[in-house]
Amino acid sequence: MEINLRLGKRGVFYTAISLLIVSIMLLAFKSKPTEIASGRFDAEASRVEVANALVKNINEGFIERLLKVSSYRALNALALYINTTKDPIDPSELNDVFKEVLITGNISGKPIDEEIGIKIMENYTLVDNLRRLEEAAWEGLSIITRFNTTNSNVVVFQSNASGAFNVIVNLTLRYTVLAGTATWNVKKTWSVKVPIEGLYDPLWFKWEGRAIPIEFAEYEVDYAKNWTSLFKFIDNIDYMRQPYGPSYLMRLTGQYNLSSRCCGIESAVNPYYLNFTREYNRTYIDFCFYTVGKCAPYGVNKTLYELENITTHTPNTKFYGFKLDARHYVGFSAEKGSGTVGLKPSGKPSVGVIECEINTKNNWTQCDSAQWHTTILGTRAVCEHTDGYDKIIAAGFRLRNEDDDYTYFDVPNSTRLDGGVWYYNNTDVYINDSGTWTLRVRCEDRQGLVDARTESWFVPWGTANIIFINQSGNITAIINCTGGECDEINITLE
Amino acid sequence: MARGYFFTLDAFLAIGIILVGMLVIYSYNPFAPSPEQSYAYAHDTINLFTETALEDLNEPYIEWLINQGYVTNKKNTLMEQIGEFYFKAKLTGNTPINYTKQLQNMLEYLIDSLVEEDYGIGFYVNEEPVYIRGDYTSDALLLISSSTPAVGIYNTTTLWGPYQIEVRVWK
Repeated sequence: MEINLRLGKRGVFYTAISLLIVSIMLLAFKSKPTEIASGRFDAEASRVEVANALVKNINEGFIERLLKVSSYRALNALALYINTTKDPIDPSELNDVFKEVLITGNISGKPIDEEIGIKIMENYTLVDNLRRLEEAAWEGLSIITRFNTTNSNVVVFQSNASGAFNVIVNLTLRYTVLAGTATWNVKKTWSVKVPIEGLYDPLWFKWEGRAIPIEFAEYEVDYAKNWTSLFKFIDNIDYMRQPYGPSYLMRLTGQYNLSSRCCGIESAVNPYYLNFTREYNRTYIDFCFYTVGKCAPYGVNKTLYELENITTHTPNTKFYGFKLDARHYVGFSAEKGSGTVGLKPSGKPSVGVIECEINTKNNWTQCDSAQWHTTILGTRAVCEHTDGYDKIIAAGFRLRNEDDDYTYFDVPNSTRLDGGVWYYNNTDVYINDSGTWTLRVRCEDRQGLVDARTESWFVPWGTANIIFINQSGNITAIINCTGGECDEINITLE
Repeated sequence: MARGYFFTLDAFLAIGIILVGMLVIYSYNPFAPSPEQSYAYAHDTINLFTETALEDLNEPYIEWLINQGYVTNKKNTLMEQIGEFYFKAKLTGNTPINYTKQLQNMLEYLIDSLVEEDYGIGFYVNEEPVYIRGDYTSDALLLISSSTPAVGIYNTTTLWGPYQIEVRVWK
């Protein structure tokens, strides 16, 4: 059958209707523009959310942790710096010095690690830690983070808020976070408590050059109840709170004579650990021992006490010459009113500083400055007594050259007492002998108790120069001795 | 008239073919899993781990970790604890304490109660897998991940991190 395919009106109409229906159906299945747009906006919102979470983490945890670690290391580095220089930090410069070490690891422009010879701040300055955080944000989250340490502010202090066991560090810092279309510009102050436990005590670095870490006693120290607790406290060189003593920052700045009600700490002086070779007439508590005038035998209450089971009088034992003042005895005894259990006043003399007047009047100095061809014009010494200087009744002086076995003077009592210092105006002694010289001082109190100490020093032997002169067969030897005494010289010609 | 019927029939036939074709195309993946659920698991897990401290969890296993000394700071968040276990494992070589095992046990215990069994979940620290539940294969229909940096303190003097800790959820 042949189909006539002539274009007729009905065919065109019906074809048009079909095309219209198909078009409508195509339009119905096409995605709406708004759906595509919402997909893109969801991705952007997610990115902003991630960046927001990062900002929250930075504000509420990250910076504090970085700051705590860097601050702890900076404090330890400063303590070790004091060990190197024996010079505490100037109190007025503490914030600036700490800030420099914390942020850059430098002190006065130089790397502090090089100054102290130990790597403490390397890779742990605040800048190092912040850079690591920036890298982590970029590599992990593709978020740009920038911390601005240039205009930052740092304050370090101790107060009631920190207590004795911590130092507070406040850091004010600006940073920026860029996440696509969103930007955060933040200026914030973080405050962290940095524990001082484990840090080296700057006081021990300054006075003894010893690295003693601060470890707080976690047991009760009560001598009256249990003497072993005090024994342990001294033996371990543990620490405890002491409102009359200096805080950690005061120790860092050399203010050992100050008291910190909120934050003072103390440790005992362990004569066994420090290898003391003699007994000292001082309170064997760190800040008391190294500060004149702070504790007994200075001040109003001059009495020092020895403690049963603690104090010994034999060198190299625990604890040779250990003494406490009344304040610390009370402090170490939880039971008030326990009286003077185990205490006995330590009333005896001890020889203090010994000096010589050399060459010129009033030129008082250490006696080992009395070298070849100098003149000792006089000698003096401090005689100390736990019950007061007035308990001393006599101070004797003896000067000898041990190699020559010659005594220049030996007097049982000096000629003059002035403010606790005993003077002996000896006949001038011109040093023209070499060898070992000794000056022995002997202090005696009313009860006949005596303490003696000898200062010794060495005057080097001379150098002999020999010149031979041949005059017509006659040989003459000229011996010239310089710098000291020369021994007998025998010359034999062969 | 016959031509009209013919052309109309032809048009409807064409429409039918187009409709069938479109149905085939759009029903190619009729059972695609909802991305919202996976995203919620990943994102919520990260949020929970970042904001919840160990001491705030009333979980016997966490208390056991604290009592045994494996956890030294119960104020750590879960995320910090992951980082700390990871750090200690690297530091000590897992001797004498196997910190990697402790980390896996902790995550296994917590995740079982948080994420449905038919979802796979994995924790990665700096791209290194530390815990994976469920086999991830190329046949997985969906993978969502969420990550956050974490940093913490060890022994007062040492900083661990920043680590990039990532949670991946798949089905």
